[in-house]
Amino acid sequence: MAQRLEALAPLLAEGGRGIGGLKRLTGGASLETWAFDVESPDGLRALILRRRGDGEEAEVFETSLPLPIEARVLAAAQAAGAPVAELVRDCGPGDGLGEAYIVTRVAGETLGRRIAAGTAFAPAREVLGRQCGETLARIHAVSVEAMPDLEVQNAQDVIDRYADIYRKSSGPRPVMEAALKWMQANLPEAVTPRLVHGDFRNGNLMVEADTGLTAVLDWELAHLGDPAEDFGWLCVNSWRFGVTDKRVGGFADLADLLAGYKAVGGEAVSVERVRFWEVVGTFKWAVITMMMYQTFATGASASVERAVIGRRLSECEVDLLALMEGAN
Amino acid sequence: MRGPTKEELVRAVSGWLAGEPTPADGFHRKVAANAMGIIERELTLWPASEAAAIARMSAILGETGDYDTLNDALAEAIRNGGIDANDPKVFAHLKQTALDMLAVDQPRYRHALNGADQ
Repeated sequence: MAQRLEALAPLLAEGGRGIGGLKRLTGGASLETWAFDVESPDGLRALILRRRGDGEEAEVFETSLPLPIEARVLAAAQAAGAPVAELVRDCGPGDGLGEAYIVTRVAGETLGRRIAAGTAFAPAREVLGRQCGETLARIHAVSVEAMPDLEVQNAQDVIDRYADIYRKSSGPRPVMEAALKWMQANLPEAVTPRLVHGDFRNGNLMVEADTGLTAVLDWELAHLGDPAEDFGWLCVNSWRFGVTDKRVGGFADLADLLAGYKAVGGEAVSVERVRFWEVVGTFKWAVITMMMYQTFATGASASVERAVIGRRLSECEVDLLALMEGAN
Repeated sequence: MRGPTKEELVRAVSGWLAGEPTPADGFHRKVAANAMGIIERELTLWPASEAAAIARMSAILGETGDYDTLNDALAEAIRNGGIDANDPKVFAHLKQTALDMLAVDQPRYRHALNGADQ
């Protein structure tokens, strides 16, 4: 891998003559993330390689986009003015890296707990809600026609998909059944599908302590759908890291988010619509915890973490009931 | 799935203890301690919570049985529309049970149910 990147160095930075500091960062079993630097006359250029690994797909909880499509979505979001890690190279077969792309390495913090509660991040929290609103408005304004064959997932599709997984991976649960009834009864009117990030939450946002949002990461779940889906997912209580009274990611109020959205021309989104998608998001996270526990239950993983995560279902059920109660 | 059961948690932790050391053991130790805490709270708190839930579900369903039987029946009744989860008595049961489970699984989790935090 180092050799392949070495060969690409001249294409990755003006006068690039070699690479260094290659290091595997966290990443799933199938999707690898690597940090490295290109040496050039101007100094080091910090980059990130995202690459589909050679290993088998150990676990795919969601349908992730093929990386070349993800790269094009990223480029479109960048062109629309959303803060993202800039696309440096959409790797072709000749690069020898398999399915991969290379972006700039953006400085900042992604740890949700620090962003929501860290003292150093107080200045960022002042502006982050509004910045997220502005950014979502830019993402949702990307021309859908220019998007390469992204799947349309409307509310009913999302509910059906996760309901199906729940029924296959769990025994009957009264709260999950009640949530399904609630979602069906509160299904919002259909909207014209827009580009939706799909995983826009505290944890996938690169944040600088003093200036706030520097990049939106992890575009692999991008699709076409209801823009309010991104709002709801960002509000799911599990991503508030204990700062429950700050509905938006534990760092801002919903009003800040909606104000930023409106300021950049985003169409008005009702509080009810956000709540609907927050219920969907909470249900979805509940199902994902079940699926992660399943890897322990079936013997695919012996990790204590995978066993214990099944107990996070309790938090989702409490959150679902709080949302349903608040809506009545 | 009715899990992870406390037996599964014990199995996971003892499996880790018996395994070879790894560079990630600092993290795994915390996860294992968390698992042991869940087991302890399940042993001490859950029996009373479970008995109360059984009594509530018996009243709602007009049936008798153990927790799993009644819980399955309640879930099925909500699913097929025989019971409305918005019925105050049913909703109160769902809330109480969810809070009792959370007290076992994640007592420090902050949430808005019952106006606890908001």
